[in-house]
Amino acid sequence: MKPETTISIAKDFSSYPGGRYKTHGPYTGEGFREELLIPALKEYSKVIVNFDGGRGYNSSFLEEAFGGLIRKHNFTYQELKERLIIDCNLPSIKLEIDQYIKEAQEQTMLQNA
Amino acid sequence: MRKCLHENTERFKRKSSWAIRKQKRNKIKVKHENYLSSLPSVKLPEELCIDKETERNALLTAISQINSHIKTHNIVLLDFSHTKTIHATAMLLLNSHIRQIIDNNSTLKFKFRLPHNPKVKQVLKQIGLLDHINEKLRVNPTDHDVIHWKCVSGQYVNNELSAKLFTDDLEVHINDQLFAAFAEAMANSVEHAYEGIALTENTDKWWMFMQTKDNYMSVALCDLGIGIPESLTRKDASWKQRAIDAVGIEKIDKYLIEAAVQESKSRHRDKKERGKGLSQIVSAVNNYGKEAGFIIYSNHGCYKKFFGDKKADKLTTHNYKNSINGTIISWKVPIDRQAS
Repeated sequence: MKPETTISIAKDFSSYPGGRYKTHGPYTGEGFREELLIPALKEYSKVIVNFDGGRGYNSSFLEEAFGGLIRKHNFTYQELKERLIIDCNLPSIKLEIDQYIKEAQEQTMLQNA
Repeated sequence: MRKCLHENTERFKRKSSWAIRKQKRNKIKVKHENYLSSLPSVKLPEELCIDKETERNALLTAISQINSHIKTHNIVLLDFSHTKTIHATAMLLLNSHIRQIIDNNSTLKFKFRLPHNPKVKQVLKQIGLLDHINEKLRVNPTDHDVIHWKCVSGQYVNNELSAKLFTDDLEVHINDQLFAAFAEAMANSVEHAYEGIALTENTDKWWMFMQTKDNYMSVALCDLGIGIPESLTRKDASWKQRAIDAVGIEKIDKYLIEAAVQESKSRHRDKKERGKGLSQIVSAVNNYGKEAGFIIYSNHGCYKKFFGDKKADKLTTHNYKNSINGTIISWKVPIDRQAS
């Protein structure tokens, strides 16, 4: 695996992402996760996601993009904590993403139990 | 003498020609009026408003009549001739219904009996409703209350379109928090509002009016979905009983809207996260200070919050007799300064 890469949501995906599933719009959380995040996590041991220049990061976009890593792609919270770096100057967004990943982990464990 | 006779003859010919043309125009006018009178028609009320009970009932009755007529007729006449006053949220609701009907019925046509009131004519032109149904109206919106309104709609979450609207005229800066809150409202319209409602492929899910004028920005977003009260009770059925216990069965919608706002706030109070959904919007508008305000209309209910200093801070809720069968979220913020 290559060491590290940075994804800029604004430059590589959209300055105005929003929505959950691909059926909800052109630049959704599902789209971001499948087109950029997953390929990067497969190829690089560390992925930095940069939020500069983007606007409108609504909750369903964030939840599907990051919580979906656990639900749909079997990553674990611990693994993402080591490999995924959220580069955002808004602490509230970092906190929100962390919460979504945690909740997705808890739900997955409940379902598997 | 001969010259004089010739001039008189020419003048007579011109007058006769003009008279004939006028007669023809009148005949066409009468024929057109007879045609319009033969169509199933819906008379729109004098005041388009969803805030006052009587006016709201009149508008909702008209919308109901439209829906009833389209079941059995391919052409329906919308009679605006008596309409004199239009409130933005009411016009947004009516516009949304008409456009949704058009999206869902490719063979249906609307005809208009045009308003006598010049401002109302300008409004219908400005929001593009008449263009949408190919009704030709030679009027250029010029009124200060009309020209700053913009109208867009969509099937998908489209934050780029919103951003363009907000910054188009005056390079208005809408802060990230409010923009994210707006994105949240739009996402809710697309992702949740139509749960269980079958829509055709080309149907828009949200309609928006926006105005920047006199140092204020006003935005209203409408969906014709299940409504916040229904959405909350579907997530947690116990809410309905709680509402009935608190305010009685006839007033539950206003209670449920307030509950939806409070519920999304309380879940995040201790976590220092951004709120989600409604609380995010309320919080974002609140940060613009005492000149900002916020209204939610959903089904029968209404939730209004006008922010001010602690004494002036005012929340009112209300339950109406008739439902708008959807949700309108509307806010107004000053734009001559940034949010705190």
